[in-house]
Amino acid sequence: MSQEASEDALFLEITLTVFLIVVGCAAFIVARPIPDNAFEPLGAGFAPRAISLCLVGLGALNLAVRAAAVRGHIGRARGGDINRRLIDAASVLVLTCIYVWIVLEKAIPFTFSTGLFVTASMAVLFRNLRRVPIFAGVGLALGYALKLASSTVFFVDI
Amino acid sequence: MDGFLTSLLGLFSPELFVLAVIGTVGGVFVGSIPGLSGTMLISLCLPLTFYMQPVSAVVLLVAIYTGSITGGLISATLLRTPGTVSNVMTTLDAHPLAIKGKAQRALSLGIAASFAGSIFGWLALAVLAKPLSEVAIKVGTSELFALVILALALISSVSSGSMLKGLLMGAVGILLALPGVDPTTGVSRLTMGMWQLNGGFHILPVLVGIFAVAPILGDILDLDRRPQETQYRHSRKFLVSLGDLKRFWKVIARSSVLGTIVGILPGVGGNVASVVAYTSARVLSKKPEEFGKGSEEGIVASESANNASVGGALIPLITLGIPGSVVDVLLIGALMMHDIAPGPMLFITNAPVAWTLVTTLLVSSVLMLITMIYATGPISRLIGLPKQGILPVILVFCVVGVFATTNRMFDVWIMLAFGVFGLVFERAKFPMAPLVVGFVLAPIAEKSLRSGLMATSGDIVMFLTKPLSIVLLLASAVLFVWPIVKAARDWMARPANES
Repeated sequence: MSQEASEDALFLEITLTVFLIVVGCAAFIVARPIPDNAFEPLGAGFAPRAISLCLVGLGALNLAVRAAAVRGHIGRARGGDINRRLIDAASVLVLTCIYVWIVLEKAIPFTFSTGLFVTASMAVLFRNLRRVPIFAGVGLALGYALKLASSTVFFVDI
Repeated sequence: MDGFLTSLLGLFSPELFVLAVIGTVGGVFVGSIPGLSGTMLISLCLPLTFYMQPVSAVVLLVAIYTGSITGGLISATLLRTPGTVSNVMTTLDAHPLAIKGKAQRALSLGIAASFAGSIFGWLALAVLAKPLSEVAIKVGTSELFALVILALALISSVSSGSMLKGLLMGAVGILLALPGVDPTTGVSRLTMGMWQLNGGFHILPVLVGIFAVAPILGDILDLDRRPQETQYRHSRKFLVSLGDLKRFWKVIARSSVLGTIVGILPGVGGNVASVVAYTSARVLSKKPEEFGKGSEEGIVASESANNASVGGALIPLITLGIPGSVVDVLLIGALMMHDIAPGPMLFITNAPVAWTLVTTLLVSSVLMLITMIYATGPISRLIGLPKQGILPVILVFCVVGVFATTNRMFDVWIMLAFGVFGLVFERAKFPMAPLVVGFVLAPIAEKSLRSGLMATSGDIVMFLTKPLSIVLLLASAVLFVWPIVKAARDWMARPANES
């Protein structure tokens, strides 16, 4: 792994650790009002409170260790192009969310929405618009097959 | 014995046999494509198994598991890219051998070692599973709680990345298992006002998100990486002789034993098994300098160990309901969808399912051998298929599969959220195995702890009076405290080093 990549991973790890500490704090605050009861020694709130505290503690420890490692990197110029594939992954994720929303709302029939999703995703990943008819064919065939399978095998109306 | 024979004969019924063939071939194929894995295929098949009989589901999933571990050998040899993490050590020697023009020899050795390891793992499973489950029935709540805690400590400690990150992800997994209506008191907890979370996170979207959606997004990020290919012309000649068996039997036996033992450890799978066996083979070899440059011993050690770990990993699943590897978490998920709880009672309450787990491993090992000998050629041509065309199709299967099983779009959103979560955390080298093991085991741990305390009116001493639970808790304490002490020492030492 190049130095820049390992630096990126380190910064990402620190960001995520902070995120986990925030999640732990939030879980503890949410779990605090869970009532204890008379017939059971621990109560329903014990596990969430204990685990959220563990999460905060472990997160703080990891942060302390990683913060020391990152001290030498702060202030160093960070260049480089944004990974084009990162944009591809984000695009496919956004397309998937739109696809799920369309399926949920039944805005477009399932076969066509699947066809559109597969076409758009493949066009993004292949970066080739000339093959769009092939992508559309694959998508429509997949959509039709899944529609048929879900209604006849799973008895689910998509 | 009756149960074993009945189950074995049952496997040759047309339906189950076809499922075993489909699972093994599918597993070999998916395992051979870098970036796709048996774990991903099993995750995708989980929704499908919901509509099957439990026995059929077990046959399909165990067959995929067996096939995928070996399938990774093909790309490890021809592309220098392990198809699955279990084949990482194989790559070190199989690819150099392929570059020397001996790809067929490397594949033949790997296939033979895989089969031997697989059969050894099966033997261990067949011999140990039933007697151990009879012992495990006598385990009380305090011992079960201690055992689950040990499993969590072990998986966090042994998983890739730092131990501290393993513990952190284990805690996240446990926290994710807590939302919903508490089964003991009926109190709603951590649902954040969402009625959809009253039943907690459904296991399927969590597993599909982490094991299928996250790797798909990861594959998109890595699409531009081109593996180094080797010239390979397939022939059906199986280049392993009886002389090889004589030459390598010690390596096979030792690696299979190590693989099975590592497999038995909760949450630790074929990847650790192959590393341990490869390292021991190099240490004990007469030609250690050849390792990493095309050593045949290295291929044999790695492949026999990772395949033996499959049988080993099924032992704690059947006897205690604790997953021996990450794939076993998915098997537990499949059984849970059928309201079957794996564990010591499995041989009593669901004997056909328990015996099917045992017999399918045997049959799928034989099918794997046949598939690898005859289908390596076609598969080696297919592993070059453009992933750009495969990934969107798999995404559609994930969406439809989760929706078809749970009938709620909420779970599809959860799946996508866990996909992004898994991708981001894996990129930062946070291990996912402790998270899923924590997610599956947390309810068992909490239930054992609370019911044990209710029985003793809150007297915690119960956990410290039984010898087995004391030993297990002490071992867990060492495993939990060690990474924290180590991290604290590193933290204290670092400023001094820097200055």
